[in-house]
Amino acid sequence: MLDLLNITRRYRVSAGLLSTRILTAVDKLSLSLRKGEFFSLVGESGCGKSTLARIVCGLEAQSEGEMRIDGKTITGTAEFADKGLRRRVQMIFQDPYSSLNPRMRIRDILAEPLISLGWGNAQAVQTRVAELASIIRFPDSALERFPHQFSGGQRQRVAIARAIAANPDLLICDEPVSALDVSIKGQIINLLLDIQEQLGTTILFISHDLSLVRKISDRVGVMYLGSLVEVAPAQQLFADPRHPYTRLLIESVPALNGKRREEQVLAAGEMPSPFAIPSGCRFRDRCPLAFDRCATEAPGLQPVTSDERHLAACHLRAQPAPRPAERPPVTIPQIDLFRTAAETTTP
Amino acid sequence: MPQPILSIRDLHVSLRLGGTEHDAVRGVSLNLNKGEVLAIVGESGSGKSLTALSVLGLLPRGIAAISSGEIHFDGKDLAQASNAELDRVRGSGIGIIFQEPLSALNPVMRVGDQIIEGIVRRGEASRKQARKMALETLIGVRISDPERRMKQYPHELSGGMRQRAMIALALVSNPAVLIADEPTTALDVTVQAQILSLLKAQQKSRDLSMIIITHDLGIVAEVADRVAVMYAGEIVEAGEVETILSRPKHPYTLGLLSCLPEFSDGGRRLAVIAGSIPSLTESVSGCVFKTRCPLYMQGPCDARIALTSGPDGHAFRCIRPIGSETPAESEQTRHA
Amino acid sequence: MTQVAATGRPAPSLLSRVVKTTTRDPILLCAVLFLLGVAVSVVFAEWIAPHNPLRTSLRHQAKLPSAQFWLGTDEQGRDILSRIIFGLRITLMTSLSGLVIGIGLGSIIGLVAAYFRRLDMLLMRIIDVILSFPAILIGLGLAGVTGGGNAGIIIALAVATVGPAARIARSAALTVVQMDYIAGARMVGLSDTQILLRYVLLNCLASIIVYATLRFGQLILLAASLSFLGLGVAPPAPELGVMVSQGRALLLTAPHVALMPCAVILLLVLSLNLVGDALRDALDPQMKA
Repeated sequence: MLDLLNITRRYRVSAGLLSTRILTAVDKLSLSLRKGEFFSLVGESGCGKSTLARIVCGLEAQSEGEMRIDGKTITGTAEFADKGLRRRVQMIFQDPYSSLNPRMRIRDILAEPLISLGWGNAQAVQTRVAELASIIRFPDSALERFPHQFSGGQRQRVAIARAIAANPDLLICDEPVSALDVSIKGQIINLLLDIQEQLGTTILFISHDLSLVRKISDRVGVMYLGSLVEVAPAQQLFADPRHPYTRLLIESVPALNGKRREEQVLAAGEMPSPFAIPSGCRFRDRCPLAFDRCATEAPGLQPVTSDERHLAACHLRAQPAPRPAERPPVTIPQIDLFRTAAETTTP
Repeated sequence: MPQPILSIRDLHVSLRLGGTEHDAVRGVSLNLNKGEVLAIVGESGSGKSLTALSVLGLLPRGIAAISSGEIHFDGKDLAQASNAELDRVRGSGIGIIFQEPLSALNPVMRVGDQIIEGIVRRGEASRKQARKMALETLIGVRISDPERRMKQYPHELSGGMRQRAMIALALVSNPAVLIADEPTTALDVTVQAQILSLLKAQQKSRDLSMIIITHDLGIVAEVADRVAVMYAGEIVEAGEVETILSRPKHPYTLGLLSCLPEFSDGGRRLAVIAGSIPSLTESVSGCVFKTRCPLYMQGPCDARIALTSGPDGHAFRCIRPIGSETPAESEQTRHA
Repeated sequence: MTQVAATGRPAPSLLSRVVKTTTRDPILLCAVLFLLGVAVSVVFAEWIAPHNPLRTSLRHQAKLPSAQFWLGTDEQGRDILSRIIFGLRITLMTSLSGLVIGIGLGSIIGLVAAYFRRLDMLLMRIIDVILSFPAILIGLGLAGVTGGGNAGIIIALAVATVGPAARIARSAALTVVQMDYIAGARMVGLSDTQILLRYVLLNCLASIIVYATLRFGQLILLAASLSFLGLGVAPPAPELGVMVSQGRALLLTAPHVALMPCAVILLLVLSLNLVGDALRDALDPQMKA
């Protein structure tokens, strides 16, 4: 569905009165997404995941590298002027308070992509708007209202409806639930899962929430300072992380049961400035396993075993992760009380 | 039982929106014991931040104000204290750190100067001594290259370092209590882990009593001893962290837990608490959670519900708490 | 998915909010009523003015306000009130024309500069040049070319307004252009023109309108000043600035001749400022929400 080959994105940043510096936000990134898969991209701020999202959906052009969407090669933003292609890739943004035009009614927000991308005549557009409204559980009266009359979660549902209006093949979600309360996140996530399962849409899900990503993704990719450092099927990535950065991330997440290993987390220091990326392996100045080869030779993203699906950019990728102490699973009485409610309303 | 170091009793905070006053915090009572870490957990609109800000009289003037209640600290009632008295408490009695260091630190003042200014203004030390204190505290919060950081401006520091600077600012005058309002929400997860471990270490070494406000139950599990769960301006459950997170009694607490990805076992779908928090303008009679509660029973849940306390300090505001029904009754509820 | 359907909050209508705001503040209410009164009298001047503004009378020269002449008469015996009513028409039309042209051009430049970043530098330098021209000198120059009349004043006012309007529009647009909904508009294939009109302009309109209201008052003062200097319509046409100028000679003996039109200008500009401020306060929370 999506092929990225050595995608690089550089920016010129002014650094003082007359000088400029080059910021490499994405560095020779290669990735392929299968049709209909749910792929999550995780990383911390500055890793380039949002920049990559903007490149894939045509808001920015890559500086170098090849991008193919369903076989069609894309060199920059020009190809997206073709409405046929424009229709196929859509994005959902992080901030529900700035992703909808405050001066447009919900009905018009939903109809706009249909009109612009040539869905059909006025009647067809209205029918589709009604369909979308029912998918996100918005009654007719709500369609006449403006975004500021709705909560963050509700606005995000509108954003999703607008994004899937013209049936895109690839849906990019840039931290769609990060700004929402815990009890509301599920609405959006479940809706996205429905879209993937029922419409066969490929989903590229960008997030920093590891526990969420673990549960909902087919595959997960970890980014650090502009590069992919590990890619694997979700369960495998968390059960047997082969890159030290992935292990650091997993270890840093506060868990409900068991305490974490402090020393490892504390010794990891701070992320280096993107202007001063270390030579060789970019993670080596924070890595507990770094040795001399790491400074001279940058490890490529290679399979960790004969199984091609798990890749890691580390010279020591063949060593499995040290088994963490078994954390007892937490069982809470009646924990499915809200689950039953959720299941019955899935359309 | 020794006296709690900070005691909030029946606090009411009103919020002015569009010309009318609304009760945003309704009858909150909390005790913070010496040396303990109390977490206040809630989602947006729960009133947790307002509660924290009201302790130090930091509510935005003209918009929010304490309408009734008492806040006892060091023999004084802070809810009645004048700004001058509160000023003496801020910094040396109770310190506070906020979510966004960029807006909490003065952008046009060097980091070192900001820390020094507070000390000197409170008359605690001379400028020279204050500089020494500031440097020592910055070293204590494990900031890299502390001498240099003192001379830098906030925007020159990374997010993690700014947060450390803010912690140093709050702790430099050795307060007895530290209030942390969502201290790690704006940070990356690896930085968050470092800051949390720093807070724990500082809390232990200074024997600090800490209130931490958060929406993340993982942080509660990691850092806190006791927790209070807030919803729509009220405390709906409070008690020891281990008890609350493994055997919650209030359906909302259970709901918060069940929405976490860890508990979505089986399928990929997440649980959801249906509906949304009642807006400030709507008044709800009886249990404030009833519009979203799967155990809602017409009648008993429509009357005002008081906080029931158990002998182990576990308090909850519910007449049909989790675990109180027999299996047969649970089945009946499920099919209602 | 949620059990309860999303209906959203109902919002009070614009009219009810306007009524609520004005009735709460008595001074604002006076300002609004005054403006309404001015608008009505300007439109229906022929029916409202008690006397013919051009009719001179040797008998009633420089008379103080009386039952017959509510605001008195000027040095040629003409009814001041009637002259003011007709004069307002000229002043307002001149200022309004200058305002519309200036704000229109300025907004376009400002919005385009904010949206097409590559043109930003060039456009803003041009604006800087325009801003350094004093309006009065432009008016003088144009008066020399056009030989007096209102066209010169209108152009001077427009040129004086283009600069600040462009800055205001650009400033508002810069915030809007950062918003995700602009990216969202590109995602559905809208053209730049469509985005500029439907997204950027609509969302900057509030700032522009507020600025326009406040600028209107300034332009009225400027127009009156220019005609005071003799650059606009010539007497006997009733124009407020001209009336003040002519009344100067009588300032010590019959001050009301000059002061009445002055007072009207003052009240007019004051009312516009009050309404402009109230508009800004009213539109701000809406923008934030």
